[in-house]
Amino acid sequence: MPDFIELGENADLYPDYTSITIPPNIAPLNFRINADADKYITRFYNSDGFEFIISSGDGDIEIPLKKWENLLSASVSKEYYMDILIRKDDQWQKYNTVTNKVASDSIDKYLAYRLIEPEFETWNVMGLYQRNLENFDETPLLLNRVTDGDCMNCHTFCRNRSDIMTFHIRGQHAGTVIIRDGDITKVNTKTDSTIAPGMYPAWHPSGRYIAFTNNRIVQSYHAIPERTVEVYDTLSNIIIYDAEKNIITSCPDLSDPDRLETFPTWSPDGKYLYYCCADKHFVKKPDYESFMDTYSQIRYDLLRIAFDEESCTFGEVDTVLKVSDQVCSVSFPRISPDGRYLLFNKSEHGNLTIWHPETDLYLLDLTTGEVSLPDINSDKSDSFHTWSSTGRWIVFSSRRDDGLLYTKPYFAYFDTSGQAHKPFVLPQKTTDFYFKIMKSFNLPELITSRIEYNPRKFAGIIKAQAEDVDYKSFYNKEGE
Amino acid sequence: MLRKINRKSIEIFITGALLVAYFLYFALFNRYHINYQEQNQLFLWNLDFIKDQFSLPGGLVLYAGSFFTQFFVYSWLGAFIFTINAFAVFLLSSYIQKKHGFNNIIISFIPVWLLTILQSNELFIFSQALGFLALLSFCALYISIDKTRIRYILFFAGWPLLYILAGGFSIPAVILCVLHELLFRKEDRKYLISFLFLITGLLIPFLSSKLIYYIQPDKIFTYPLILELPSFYLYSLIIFLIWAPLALIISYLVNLRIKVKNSLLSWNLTNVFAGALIIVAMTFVISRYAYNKNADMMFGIDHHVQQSEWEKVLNLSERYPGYNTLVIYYTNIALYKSGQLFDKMFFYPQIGSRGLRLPWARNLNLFFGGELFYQMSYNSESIHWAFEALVAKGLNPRSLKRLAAGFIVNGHYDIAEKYIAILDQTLFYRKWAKKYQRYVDDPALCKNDPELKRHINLKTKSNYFSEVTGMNLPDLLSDHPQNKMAYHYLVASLLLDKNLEGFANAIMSIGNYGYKRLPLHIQEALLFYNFYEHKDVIPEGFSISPEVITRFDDYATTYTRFRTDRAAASYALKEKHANTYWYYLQFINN
Repeated sequence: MPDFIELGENADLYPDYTSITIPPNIAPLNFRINADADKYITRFYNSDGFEFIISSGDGDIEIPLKKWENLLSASVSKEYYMDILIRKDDQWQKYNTVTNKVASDSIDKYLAYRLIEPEFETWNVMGLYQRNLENFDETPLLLNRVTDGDCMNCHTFCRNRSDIMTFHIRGQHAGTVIIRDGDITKVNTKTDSTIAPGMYPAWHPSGRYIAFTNNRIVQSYHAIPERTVEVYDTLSNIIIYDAEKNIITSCPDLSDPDRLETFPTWSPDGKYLYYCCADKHFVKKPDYESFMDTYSQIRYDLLRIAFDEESCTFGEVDTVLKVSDQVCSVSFPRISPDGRYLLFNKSEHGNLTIWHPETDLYLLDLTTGEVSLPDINSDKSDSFHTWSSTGRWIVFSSRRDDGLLYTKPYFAYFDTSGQAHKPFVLPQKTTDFYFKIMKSFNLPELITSRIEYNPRKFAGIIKAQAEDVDYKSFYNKEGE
Repeated sequence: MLRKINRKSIEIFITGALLVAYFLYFALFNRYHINYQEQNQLFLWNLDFIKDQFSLPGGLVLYAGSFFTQFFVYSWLGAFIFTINAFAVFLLSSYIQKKHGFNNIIISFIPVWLLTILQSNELFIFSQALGFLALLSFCALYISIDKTRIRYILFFAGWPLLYILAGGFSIPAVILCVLHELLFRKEDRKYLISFLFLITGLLIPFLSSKLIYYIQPDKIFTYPLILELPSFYLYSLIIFLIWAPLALIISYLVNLRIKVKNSLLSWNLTNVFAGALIIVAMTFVISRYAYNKNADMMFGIDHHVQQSEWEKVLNLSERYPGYNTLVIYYTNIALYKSGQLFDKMFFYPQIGSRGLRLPWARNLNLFFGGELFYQMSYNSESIHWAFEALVAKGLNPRSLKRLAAGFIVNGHYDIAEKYIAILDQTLFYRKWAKKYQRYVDDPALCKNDPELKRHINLKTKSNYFSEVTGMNLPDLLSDHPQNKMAYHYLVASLLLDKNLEGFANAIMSIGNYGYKRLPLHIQEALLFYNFYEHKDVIPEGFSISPEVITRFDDYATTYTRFRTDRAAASYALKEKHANTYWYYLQFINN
């Protein structure tokens, strides 16, 4: 290291990879030093004497994979440090040392997501991708250029397994693709008894059932600069698909005509279905001229219903978290693999709250009923989260960087004491990646292994005719 | 010798004349088509753009097409590039014909003629023309090689490369090479080689779709050919593609009949006359079936709107025949921007308030329809439409500029910077990008830009949802009563929808919008309303001119005379009063 003077200030890095806790198997955290200087160097080291230096002429610190892997493996359960120096006017200047922690808990190796333009109604080029988190390899799972331009959405996995997944195709080749036990099928979840094809799937841990929202969606557009689109349901139920029998069913509590039920998620033991539920009277007859006044009163509570896996029947409903009597609404509940925590979104109103800047991630301790605000949120939308298979990592979508449009996947360590650590964005090979990309990372899902499919393999099933599902009425013979 | 020189001179003269005509046709009659094509793409000087273009077969023609299309910002330059390409096509076509013993200037000009037809349609983008050029270049190179082994090597090594570079445009090359071997070569192995050529032509696209590209199976032999063309152009495209192999067959057949060949190729009066006749017929087909004057005027209106050349918009609009929603929509914007909306709007065709706003639809409306909201400082809706257009069309300068400006107005500088950075990588929008980057770096500078300053002053404060079919005019005015365009469009929509009660209420505040006299159509509408409702509604400080009253008397007298016969009344009033609000009110049904 050259002679330097201490600046006594923190470096401005993008992405902000400072004071974070990272998994021991994450790709190099390349970053840019935002400072005008002639030269830049960063020294990476740990307390065991392992070190290397990266120099740069433009402020981009791009770390060789091998050196990075060695640093992480030498720093597991410990800290590593970064000394960042810049040379200005022939004088080296050093920022405050950055300290990051390397957790002993690995993160699931792959992240699946959809890349799509962030806004509004029209789609054009999109695809589902998987990214190896240990390096920068991104491979497409499905591109809509092999599906006649159809839209694809709601990719979901069973307990982070890459061999049990589902996603929807919308458009010419509409249907729900289901991969299970090595089989791939495409079904049409719209029946004469349901209002629409299934949305927002949630796999039962057994891999046999999938709960879907069955809804009618409306989009409206705000006039003020701080908000863009408002997405809300005018009708919404929850249905259960039995993948073994190819039937769909529901129950009166999940199909209440006076209520909106949505965002199903299963408890890890499969005995409860958690979901969000709102009173529907506000939108029974939507008058779009005055809907601005009423839509903001649609607020969802968190409920759960008992489920018997053997008979595919439902039991009693419990209210898990009632917030609708405040100016609050719950959405996207996701339960940690150990069943203790439920991570959810809270916003002022509505359900597709990724569009609400006030949306934050909240944590409900299911053993105590205590709700806390983990220190991973920003003043912009933080939403669409999933747990890793171990429950030690959380990935979520955040609009914190530009404040409005482009979502990026952020990871946060969730330690055994239930504390979430400062999040960091998915590392990329080039530091201007996020500035250049014109798409949002949509619905990031952690999976333990590589999905053995690609657009060619999917193309056949996508174009196949979807198999109709049967609807099994949940009413008994007496019509009760 | 003299005869030879004369023949060559005549050939050069005819070729030159036809190429000059080609240039003039595009420079003068299709200039706005050329401008419009430029607006639909964006060539970027970076590696990502190259990678993106080469992610499917035909990467080179797509990349080169986009490269040249960026120059279409100047229509004369676009026409010149068209002409150079056409000349190259002619030379290659002529060379191929000559090598096959049948060189005729008319025959060689047929692909240029087909190109003229195709390039008359805005959907036939320049990469398509370059694809054909690539095809002819390969074929010319192939047939230029006499050494059999080298020719075969060229095909087996070069054609797969051609497929990667030109995609579906390489397929006719296989047929041409096979025909060349079968009909014009005498090697013993020609049948085997032809068979192997065909196998290569099938196998390479198939294998590349399995190993290199993610592409739909039904597109591996055609991409990036654009087949979504109106039927006349589609048939022309098919002929265009099969022309080179077809010309080879013709050459072969003609060569079998030496007499016929000699009679066709000799320079005599009959042939010159026949050639002239063919050229006339070709010209007729272009003018009758390919050239779309109305489309060019429509694109011209769009072009001048983008340049804020409002009088030019109105000049073109005056000449546009019939009713066209886009033309009417742009005309109304131009009328407002030039301060003539209330004085001149009924001098132009109107279709009710539908002519003020384009309906939301996943088509070209997205591309054009945001202009209204931008001009009206309805910023969120301007962003909304621009974003949708960007998604639907891909990167294009217009949507990016609107998005950058819109996000600067809203104070979302990080997002604006993203779009500005893209424009900064272009040749013709870099200057614009630099200017707007300065606004991002120092937002206080926005006040020096009249347009941005206006948008910022009118930035929405109170929230509402955008109307699916309307323009939120009452909302905009409630938020900013000084939004002059919103007020004008509110009054215009009431007039166009024949809502005189609403008009009478709204017009009372016209004094707040800088008027010193009541505009013509406002006077007409007020006069009619007062007469019909027996009222005396006149905004304070304004009056109705005696000339308007006199004309109304004349109108009313004529109308009364034909009271029982609307058709006759319409006919009688049209001559003198067709441009009045009265006539619109009573006789124009939308």
